[in-house]
Amino acid sequence: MYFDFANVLVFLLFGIAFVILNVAVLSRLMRPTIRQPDKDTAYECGEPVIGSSWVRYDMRFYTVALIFIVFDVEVAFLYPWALVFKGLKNAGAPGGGMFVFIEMLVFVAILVVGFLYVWVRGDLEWVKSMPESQSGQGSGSGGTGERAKQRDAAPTARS
Amino acid sequence: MIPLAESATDPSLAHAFERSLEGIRESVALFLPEAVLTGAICLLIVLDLLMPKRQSRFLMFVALAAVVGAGALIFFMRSTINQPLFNGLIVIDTFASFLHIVLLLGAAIVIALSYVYRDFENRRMGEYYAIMLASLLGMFLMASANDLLMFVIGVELVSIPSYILVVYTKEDRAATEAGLKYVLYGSFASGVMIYGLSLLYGLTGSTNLADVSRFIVGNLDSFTVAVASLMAFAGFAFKISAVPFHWWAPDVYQGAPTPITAFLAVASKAAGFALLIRFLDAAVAGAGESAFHWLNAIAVFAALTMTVGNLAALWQENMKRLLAYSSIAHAGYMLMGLVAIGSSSAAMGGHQVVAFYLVAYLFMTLGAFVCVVAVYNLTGVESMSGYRGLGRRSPMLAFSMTIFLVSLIGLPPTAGFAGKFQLFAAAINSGYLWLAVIGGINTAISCYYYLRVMKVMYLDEPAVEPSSPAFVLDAQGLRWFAGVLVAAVLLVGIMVDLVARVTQHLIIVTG
Amino acid sequence: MAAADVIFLVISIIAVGAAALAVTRKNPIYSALFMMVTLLVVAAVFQMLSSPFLAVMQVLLYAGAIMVLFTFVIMLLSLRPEEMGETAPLPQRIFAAVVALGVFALLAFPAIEPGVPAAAASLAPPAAEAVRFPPAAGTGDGATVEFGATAYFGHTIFGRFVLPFELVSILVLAAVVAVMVLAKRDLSKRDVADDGSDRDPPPLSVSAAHAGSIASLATSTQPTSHGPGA
Repeated sequence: MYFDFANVLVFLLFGIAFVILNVAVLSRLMRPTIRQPDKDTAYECGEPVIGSSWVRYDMRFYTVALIFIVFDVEVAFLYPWALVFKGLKNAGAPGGGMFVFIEMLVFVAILVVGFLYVWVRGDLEWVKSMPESQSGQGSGSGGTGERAKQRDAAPTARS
Repeated sequence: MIPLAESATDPSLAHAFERSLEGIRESVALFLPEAVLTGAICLLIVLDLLMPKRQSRFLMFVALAAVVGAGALIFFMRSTINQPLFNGLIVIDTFASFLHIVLLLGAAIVIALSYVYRDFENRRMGEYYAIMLASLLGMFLMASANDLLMFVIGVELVSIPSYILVVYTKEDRAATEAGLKYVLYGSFASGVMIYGLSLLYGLTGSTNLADVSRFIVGNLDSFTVAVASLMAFAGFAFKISAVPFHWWAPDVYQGAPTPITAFLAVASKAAGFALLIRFLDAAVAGAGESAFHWLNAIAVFAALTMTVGNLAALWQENMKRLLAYSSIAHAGYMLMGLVAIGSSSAAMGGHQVVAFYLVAYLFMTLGAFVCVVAVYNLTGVESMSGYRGLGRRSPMLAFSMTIFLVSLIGLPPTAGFAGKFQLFAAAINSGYLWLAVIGGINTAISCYYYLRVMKVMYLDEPAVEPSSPAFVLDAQGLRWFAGVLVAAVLLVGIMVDLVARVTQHLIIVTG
Repeated sequence: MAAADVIFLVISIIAVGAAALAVTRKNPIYSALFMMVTLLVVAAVFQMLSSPFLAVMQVLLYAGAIMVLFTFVIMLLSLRPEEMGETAPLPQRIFAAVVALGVFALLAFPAIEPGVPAAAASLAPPAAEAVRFPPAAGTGDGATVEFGATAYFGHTIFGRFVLPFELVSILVLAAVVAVMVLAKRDLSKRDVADDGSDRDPPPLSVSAAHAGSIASLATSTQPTSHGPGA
């Protein structure tokens, strides 16, 4: 089976060689070399750099990442399930297909409870952590959308 | 090419699959108690979303109903059953059912205690009960695990929810620190345990406890097996807070909300002992004489644990911390009973005396924590100073506490005495007289700090002027709560025969 | 030396080296990145053990998702260089190295202890054949399902090991709820805080019988005990 990986190896070697040849060899030979201090600064979309990039991230990133992992794990289990499901349904195991289907149903149902929990509690809403603007805004996002629409509409009406 | 997506038409595999499914279909019905708990977890989470915060504490009744329901199902369905379920992944035997009932009792008391605990007021409690039931489900699996994989899943399912429960009052800095320590020690301990278990799997090629047992019994002198088992033991020892894996216990017990402290001290410890007993039973029970250096190791751990726990408890001023060291010491006593696990000479085997002691320990420790909650609810203090003059301020509470402390010392006519007597008898019958002597010395040491609490309650001047209105404590329901547990402690102590007869029927089935 | 040995040698050197670098870097971001290298290389090990599914999952879950989480936590803490702590003094580092080597020796011994693997082979358990792994290689027409292959995973997870599989969902559910309980900023924190405010959190001591901290603990809790009486 290691022969299969010869493909990978050739591909890998080719990729590395391609990068080294282009970046380190060819471009060095062809480009003019003019040193300027500005060129050594970090590139941030053309804007002048403000402060350090080591800023404190918001807690919400972490929350979302955690929820992502949870459902990533779920998908990881779905793949082998999908792989064997058809085979078990068609051949060999009478009734096995249905059983496996129920198994996955239970698994997903339990995780959906978790998803519901996160959703209804509003942890997926990105703008919620501004307590002042929170007042009238429940868990539904429809209300916010409507209000935003009104705010947009107001200037056009005046003009 | 890389075989990433084979079609599964292999007939031999499908045949094996079909046979496993048969085993699973038969097992599902007997798994109903755990299914009830699972359903309650989901239900609690959903109900918590629907309820306003103020009313969420009433979800206690849902959790309690689930616990009672599961208990009834176990009592009627499983009390005489001894058979492996799910193709040998777990085993439902009388030992498991007995421990399940013990765990449910502990959980029910802790759930009720959480309902009245002062720091839990104005807090969302649905999630709390859901997380606690998830932990309880893990303990169930630990008590009936018959497969290394179930060991791991059970321990994780207990640990991860309990980390959260410890920090449930998260604006309390002590709780946060306790939670952090618990997570760090806990994940390290389970990591070590999983390494040990995977070594065992690598050696045997099977995760089934019966296969692992057969291998260990055949290779008791092997250094590799000793290393693997010791690493697995580290995980169990963390759960039961045995020396030298006890460092987390005092800080966590002190910082956690008191009902959770009680939960960790009783239920988590009982589950840890269940797992340890299953493992030792598999490794040692069939080996006879050749396993005696393993038993010696257990005896050394027992002696160390009780001595360290009792000596450190002498200096404690915080009641929860004192009870933490006391619970470490009691883990040592119970380990002492485990040396009898392989011996056939004793009237009761190691797992039976430990199971008996767990019942006694459950009532007396939970009782002590009920008193701690009562005093805390009224005074906001957990240190010894809050107990000054308790005998005059709230005679019934002080009396209950006295009974629990007497039981913790192990004096008649309490449950503690009955349990301890059997532990000592088991150790002596298995030829560990020196261990029993150390246990006796430790009991004498423990008298000092337990009696000191009594002295503070009855002889010390109260912190409050006797004329002030706050002098008389009125703990209402908690007094009756403590009273019921007093009755339980005394009943178990008096009706030793009955409990002993029940525990004598606990058998361990592996495979 | 066979080709497989060479590949394994290279892989292990990268894995161990990256792991060592992850432990020794002072900046946690670098540690996290080196850890990612280790995890990626472990995926290659899984592939060498002919388990492509595990390899892919290792990359997706560990090197991908979990390392993202690590990075977020590090960014959440946002350590400035002066907060990253100092390098331990040399004696301490030597001591740590000795302990680490001791643990390594203990863990490496099982690999070289004579006798035990042979015993394992002789003990190949004949009992309970129905619940054991199916035969290593199928003999049916068409594709074979090898140990470690993805379909093999499917058959074992959804056949023999259904119970752990379903329990993982409970574990994950508990983890989701737990994360939300911990991470949630309680907007109405006020009504919780004034409840527990009179509780003076005692300073915790790491060591068990730490007389000094216990004395301070007693004094710090004493005033509150007078509170309700006054």
